[in-house]
Amino acid sequence: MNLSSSIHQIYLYIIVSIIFSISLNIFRSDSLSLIAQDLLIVESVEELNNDLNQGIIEISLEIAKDLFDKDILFIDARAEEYFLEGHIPGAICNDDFDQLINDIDNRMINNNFFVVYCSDDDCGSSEELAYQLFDQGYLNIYLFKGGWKQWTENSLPSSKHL
Amino acid sequence: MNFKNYLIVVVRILLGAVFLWASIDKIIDPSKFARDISNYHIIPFGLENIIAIVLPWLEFFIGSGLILGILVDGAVLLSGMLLIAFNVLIAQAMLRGFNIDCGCGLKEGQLVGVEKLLENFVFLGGAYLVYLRSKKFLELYPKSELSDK
Repeated sequence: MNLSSSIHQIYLYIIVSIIFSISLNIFRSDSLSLIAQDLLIVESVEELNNDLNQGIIEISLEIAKDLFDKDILFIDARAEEYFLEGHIPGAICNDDFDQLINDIDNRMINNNFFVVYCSDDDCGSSEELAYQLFDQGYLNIYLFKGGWKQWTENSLPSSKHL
Repeated sequence: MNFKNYLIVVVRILLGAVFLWASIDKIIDPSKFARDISNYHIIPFGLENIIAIVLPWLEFFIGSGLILGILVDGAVLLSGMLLIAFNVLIAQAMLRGFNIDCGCGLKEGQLVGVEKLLENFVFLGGAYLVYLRSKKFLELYPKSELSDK
């Protein structure tokens, strides 16, 4: 390989990066699978009672509505300014992570799971928060990806109070 | 002439530092970077994981190469290609109305937006300046004359 050629140098950077990064990934304690797996999606309320369903689980609007009716805790992953404009009644806001942990521990009384949502399927912050909370030891987290947009489009209850 | 050579070295080292700095958080937490990539909703077949594994190290080696003056032509061309690719990704996310973390690794929580696009164009200008240098100055390897570009 003639390393005075720009193209050969590019090849070398890419090849070294691929070999080095994948080799290192094998030996990391938090190694990633090379291909990402989709989140488990639960379609019906009955499936939620299955003990095998542990981890971060994506739920539909129907299940979110059912959990809301059962007074399950909802966590709003949007910034506080959006939360104050309107949110799912009883939901708590995420702006301070330590405070959020305290609030979850205080509010999560009769069950060990909660629902996280953000604006809509594209916002990403609900998934990010769900993984942060999972790393904190909360092992049953439901992710409502339809979020605030789908909730309001279906004329479900909303609140502007803290 | 001498001042221009030093200026290009400074730009080269700053560009290298940007790439090196951007790689650190992604190397430490590739899972988060994979989720940031996934939020762009453009990468198919679950390939965000392999990108999240390889790309930070590519940035790390590019940054190191630029700072140390090793294989500078390849590093600066790759940095330019990556910056263009990043801006395409950010622009499509903006056009689709996504308000997401850019996953750039420079500032925590930086969202996609015009500011990020302009920042990348500045870095791209720096890469172009280094690529157009007429003389290899303070470069470790290769020390031979510039090849045809």
